[in-house]
Amino acid sequence: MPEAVYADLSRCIACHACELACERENKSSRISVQVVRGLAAVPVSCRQCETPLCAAVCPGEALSYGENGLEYDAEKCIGCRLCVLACPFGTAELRAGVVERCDLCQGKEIPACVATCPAGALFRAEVESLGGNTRTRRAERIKKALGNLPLPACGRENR
Amino acid sequence: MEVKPTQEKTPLTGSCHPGNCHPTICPYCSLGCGFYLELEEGKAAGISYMPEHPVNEGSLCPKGNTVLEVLNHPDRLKYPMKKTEKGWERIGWEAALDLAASKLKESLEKSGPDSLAFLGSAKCSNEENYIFQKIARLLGTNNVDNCARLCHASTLTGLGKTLGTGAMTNPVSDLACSECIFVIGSNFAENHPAVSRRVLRAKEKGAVVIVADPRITPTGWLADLALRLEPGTDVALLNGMMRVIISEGLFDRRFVRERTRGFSELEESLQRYDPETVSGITGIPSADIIKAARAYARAGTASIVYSMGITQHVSGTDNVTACADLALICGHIGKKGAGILPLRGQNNVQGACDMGALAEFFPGYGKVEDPCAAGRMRSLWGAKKLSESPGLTVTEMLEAAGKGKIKALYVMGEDPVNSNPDSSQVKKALEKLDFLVVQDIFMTDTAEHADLVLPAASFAEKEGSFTSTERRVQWVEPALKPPGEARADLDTLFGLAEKLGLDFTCRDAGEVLEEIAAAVPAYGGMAKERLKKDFGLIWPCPDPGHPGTPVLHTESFRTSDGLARIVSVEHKSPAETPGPDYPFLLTTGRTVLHYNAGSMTRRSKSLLKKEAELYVEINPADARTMDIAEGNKLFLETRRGSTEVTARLTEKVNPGVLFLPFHFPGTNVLTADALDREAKIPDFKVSACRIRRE
Amino acid sequence: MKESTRMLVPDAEKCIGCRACTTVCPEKLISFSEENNTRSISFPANCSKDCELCALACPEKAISFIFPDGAEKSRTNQKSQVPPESLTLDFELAPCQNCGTPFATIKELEKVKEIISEKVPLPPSGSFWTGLCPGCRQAVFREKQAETLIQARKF
Repeated sequence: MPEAVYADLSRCIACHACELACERENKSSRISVQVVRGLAAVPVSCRQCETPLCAAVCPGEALSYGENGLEYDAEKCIGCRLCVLACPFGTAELRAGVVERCDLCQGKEIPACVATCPAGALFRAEVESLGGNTRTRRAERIKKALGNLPLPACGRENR
Repeated sequence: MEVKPTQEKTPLTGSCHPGNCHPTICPYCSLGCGFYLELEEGKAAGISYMPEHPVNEGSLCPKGNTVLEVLNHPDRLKYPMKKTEKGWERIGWEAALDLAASKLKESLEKSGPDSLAFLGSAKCSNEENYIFQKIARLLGTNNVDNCARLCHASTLTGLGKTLGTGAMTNPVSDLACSECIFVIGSNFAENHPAVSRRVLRAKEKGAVVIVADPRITPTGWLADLALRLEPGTDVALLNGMMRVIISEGLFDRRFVRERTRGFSELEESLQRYDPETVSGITGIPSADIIKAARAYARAGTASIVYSMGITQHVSGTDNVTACADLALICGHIGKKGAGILPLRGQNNVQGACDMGALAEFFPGYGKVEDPCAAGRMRSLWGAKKLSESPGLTVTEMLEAAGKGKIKALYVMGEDPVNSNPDSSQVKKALEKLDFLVVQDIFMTDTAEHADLVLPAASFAEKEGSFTSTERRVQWVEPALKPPGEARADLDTLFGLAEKLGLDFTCRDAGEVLEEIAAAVPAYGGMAKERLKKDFGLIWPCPDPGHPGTPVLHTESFRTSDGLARIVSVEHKSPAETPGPDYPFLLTTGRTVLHYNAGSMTRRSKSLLKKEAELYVEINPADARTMDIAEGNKLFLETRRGSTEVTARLTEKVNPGVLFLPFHFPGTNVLTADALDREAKIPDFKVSACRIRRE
Repeated sequence: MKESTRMLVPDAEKCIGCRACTTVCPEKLISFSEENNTRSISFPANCSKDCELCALACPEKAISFIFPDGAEKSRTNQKSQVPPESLTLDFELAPCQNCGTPFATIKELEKVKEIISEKVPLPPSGSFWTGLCPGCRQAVFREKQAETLIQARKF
């Protein structure tokens, strides 16, 4: 199942550890954290879209969508940057003739950003379909409406 | 499709496997986070995370993540160097140690032992600090100190007088069990990021988080209640909260009766700290003061987390004392999830203090003036005589050097030019010395003034024990060889001791630890092999069978009668407040991307890329009045000096307040050297300042 | 049947100024520069390299070759004009609608919008982001993501 890196914004503390870990593991950082209006921090990286616009515009089939999600073949990349211009989230970048975007640290057990986040704000999950955001928002509303649930006993680690 | 986290298998990431993977402890802050260094052909080539570590659970902040850039930096000092007219001249180790020893002996003979001063390192190991202060003391002086003086000296005095000991009372992991977390003067989200995970865990369980800070920081984002107080008014806030708690009967009567002394005097002294008066002093709405007080007192378990925001003031000792009072009257101490957590700075500042690299304490905190303690040290060291008068602290040392009273200064792993207040005075003082030797991994701004520079090994290149802020003593083994001819500080000190004619029987760190176990009761049960297992031991660990003590004060306090002392303190103004000549209040602090004086992080390419230069946070309203735009270059001026900075407009600071990170040279050119009377810690947090445009 | 030198013929109508050719040319013969609001791509008059990488790479198939004996080697059947010297094509750069930084040629963006509208089902908001540079696209996404949280945190 295709997976993406997601961020729980209520936990992000804008420490940029994810950016630096990514940069060390992948030559350049595929995740970017910025503070919005001094009150929240948002990490942004490739959304692993199920209908990827980058693959749609790619003239050379370097970017394609397969069963494991978005795939990139650097051999076929001509460096036209159309994918960079097509991505609605601005998360693709062309560096040294190669497209850099989050690929969940290909081949590793955990993406570096997820492993390193001191606040546990990043996690890997199956890609949510379009409209997933609405679903998450509804879930938050319901949680708030139902109020505090009974607390688990102290000493048991949750997350 | 719902978004749910997939199960993470872990443990090792990267190309780490047992063959090339070396466990180590981060050299930056005092959390003591564990991770693995991946080695390739004898060089540090990668980092892997350590999910099994009890403190950071595999996570790592941006500084730890970029530590390779520091380890492998071309600026690493490789050879001993002597300063000559023609500049730095490389010399051999024998010649270097001979030079250092002869200069120290010269000063000793001509002007007596108190003409010498020794600045120990909160970054070096316990063994290194122990031997360092032993050398100083065997030469006859107590002029030995370390940069703890600049950060948590007020913790030692404040908690020392109330609880009997100045250490963090609970481990970081306990925060997840607190129902109320009161954070005052700490920006842990930036400076101790791994603490965030436990605070967030507590919040998931419904904990209330209160953050008191003049600025809105990422730590403040996690708060349920933010108290934006005027800098320097912490005692007023704490007293105000305590008054509410006492007048509403929310204090823990039984705890106060059975385990403390001094409550009635406190109650009396709090009369004038009613919420309205306190609101007037602090700028916090009285309703919020009351809310905070009730939340803290009513919680079943509550923790106070604090750091520089309250220690670095002329009222630092009082601020810490007031925190202890608050915890004591509510009984929130001595049990899991309830305690006082001073988050310390350096990776081994706790250890350096435990080892007696302090002007007034022997190893184990026996006072140098106490004949019993002195006698004990004398017999342990086989010394005929030890000085029993407290020595000069780091700020006093520099002042005395400026007056010509200190002739020779030995600096190990410290950068007072950038860490001490009033940098221009520090530089003048260093120039006046007859002899300055600096032992470090880089040519710091302090080392530039030295007569002799000795290259040191970094954390990954030597063995030894390091004590984290939660009193966890962990052992580190060398993963790499030091560059060039750099040596572990311990080896350099052994060499120096030999040249000085001091007879040390220990030959390596493990043997030094054995001596430490005999000298420091809290380390009594520590030995290298024990520390290498299970992520070390938490002191006190008085004997070899003892499992360590995560939570302090469970049964009794470390006072003579076992009872805590509630000590009333009064709000007093900072040494310097804004006035017509200097209308702004300048406060200083840290940011997440850099570390302390910056000698390491300012050499880290990727960190510099993100934060390259000294900036000042200024409120947009103030900027508008002065016609300052984002990115403008300004001069900040105080009575000490002037520094050029770049303007960053932000609502993080209130109008009238300016914030400077101290990771870049120039910040401490401005700060005042007004000291807390008891702890001698400088008032870094409050200076009167003005802005000049070019 | 490769000749030793041939003339490089870019088609000014087809070229969208994406500069993929500047990336793939092994001799770095094709270059580009950006000044003010214009991207200029400079094609050499001829090249002796035995490859067709620039022509192969070009997403618009805008590059063809003319050989000294006059025989045209082109992907299409249309005759191209023979340039006497090296040719520089200029493209107007579109400024980001948020920060104003010129970030892509107008023709590149048109091309992207064209393909997207053909191949991908879009939400009602359309492809508004194509007018923004990647940095501002991230910023807009962030604002949207953080909206509720910021409201909750305003003390």
